[in-house]
Amino acid sequence: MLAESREGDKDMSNLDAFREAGNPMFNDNKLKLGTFASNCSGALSMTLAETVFEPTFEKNVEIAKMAEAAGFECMIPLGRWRGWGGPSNFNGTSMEVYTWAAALASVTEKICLFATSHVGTVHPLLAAKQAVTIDHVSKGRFGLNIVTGNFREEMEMFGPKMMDHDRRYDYAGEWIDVVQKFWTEQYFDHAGEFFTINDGFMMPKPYQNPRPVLISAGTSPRGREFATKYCDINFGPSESMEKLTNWTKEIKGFAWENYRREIGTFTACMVVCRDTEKEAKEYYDYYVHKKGDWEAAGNAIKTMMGESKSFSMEFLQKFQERFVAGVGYPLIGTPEQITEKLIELSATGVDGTLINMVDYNVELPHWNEKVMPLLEQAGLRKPVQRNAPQSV
Amino acid sequence: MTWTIFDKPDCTDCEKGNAWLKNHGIPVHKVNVFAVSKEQISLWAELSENGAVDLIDQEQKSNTVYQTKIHNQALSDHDIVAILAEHPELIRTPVITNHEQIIIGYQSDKMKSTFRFVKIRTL
Repeated sequence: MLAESREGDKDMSNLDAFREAGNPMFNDNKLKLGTFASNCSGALSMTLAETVFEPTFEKNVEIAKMAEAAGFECMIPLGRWRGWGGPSNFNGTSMEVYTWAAALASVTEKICLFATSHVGTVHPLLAAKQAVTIDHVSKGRFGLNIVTGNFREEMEMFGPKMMDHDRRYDYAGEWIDVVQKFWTEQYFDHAGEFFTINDGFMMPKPYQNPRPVLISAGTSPRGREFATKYCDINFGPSESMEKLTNWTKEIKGFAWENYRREIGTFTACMVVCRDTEKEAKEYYDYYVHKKGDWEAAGNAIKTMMGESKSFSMEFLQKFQERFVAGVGYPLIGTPEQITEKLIELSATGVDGTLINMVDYNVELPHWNEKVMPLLEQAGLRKPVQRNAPQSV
Repeated sequence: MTWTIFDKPDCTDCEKGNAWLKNHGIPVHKVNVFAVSKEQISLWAELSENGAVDLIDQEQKSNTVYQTKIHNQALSDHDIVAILAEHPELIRTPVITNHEQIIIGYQSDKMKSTFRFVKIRTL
């Protein structure tokens, strides 16, 4: 832990090294922003609605440059190896996460780039090495989003039967231990349950000292345990403001009580921002109810939640609509209405949110022009230099 | 054998079928169902599970031709093929076929089980 590397300085937080280094993920903005899943077809919205967005390098460069110019703190990809079926085969076309991050690192200067790494798909030595390389290419703007996987058909493309939930976290714990040893030690041996390392060596070490930012998204008891023990930021539920408030308070408290660690919290929002509320609602209705891929959503729900009969049809229907729409707290309306909701969101205690749009390349310029100044006026974000282009 | 999708404009199931094939990376040749020949319809009837009756679009029940020529009529496969050849708007679309197998309408489960071991490129 960072605190251990500064012996005697007992009041230091484990996040202070990032703050001192000027890492955007820990800057002074009260509500940090990021994009999510721009490396996958559909991003987060399961729809056949027309869009210019495609998960290509060119489109991602456009998005990265627009997000960076507006002061977004990060871009986070989705770890995805196959689609969810249905006519859209949602997320079926995707860019691999480490190479995506490396590619965007070479064309950006300020924004943080993450790789969402399924621990079961990459040896920790390779993960550590790829992370260090991107960290150097980006001059300290890389972060690792650690996921264990929950899409059986996807994980079993790699061969072995997917481990059960808790076992995946046992594996992830040892995995990140080994990654961090490669980042912080030299010529070490490791003999664990899942990995054996003989005379482990890595040069260079990460650009960031002592290591890149670590984040995770699990909110189950094991997921919370993992996040608070190892990670700097945890992603949590966006179902309601009340749940967000309770969750962010609980996880920050848990991290401190159990590990004397500080942890940041992020959530996710799906955005339909238009000049009038009517336009926003009409577009939502179009891409969700008229063009939505409810088949893909059904596949995803069935996979992630099992075929439990514990949930009512009403609950599943509501949750399925959220999947179709784009997961995340709905921000549907005018820039002013959306800003009001984000003020509420910030008041829950979360440090930031990812935003998802159906068509990033078309909608992000409008968000940057209309919503970002309102967030600055509301005190949620500091102004950025306006001489950078708002759109490409 | 090359797969072909026979579709028509303003057909929601055709939109889904085309999207499914594209987004699952299955190469397919696209043909408007109004260009189909009687011989092709006859072949489709042979390939389909229940014969030519599977090819009738039951959503067209309000169509005048359907009402006069199909509804409550005892029709042979030969009769149905002849009607559909003359009135292709009554064909249930999309029809996806490689002349050995056929999928009529948008059937996600059948498409999933049919399109396995698909060779996309030759090394």
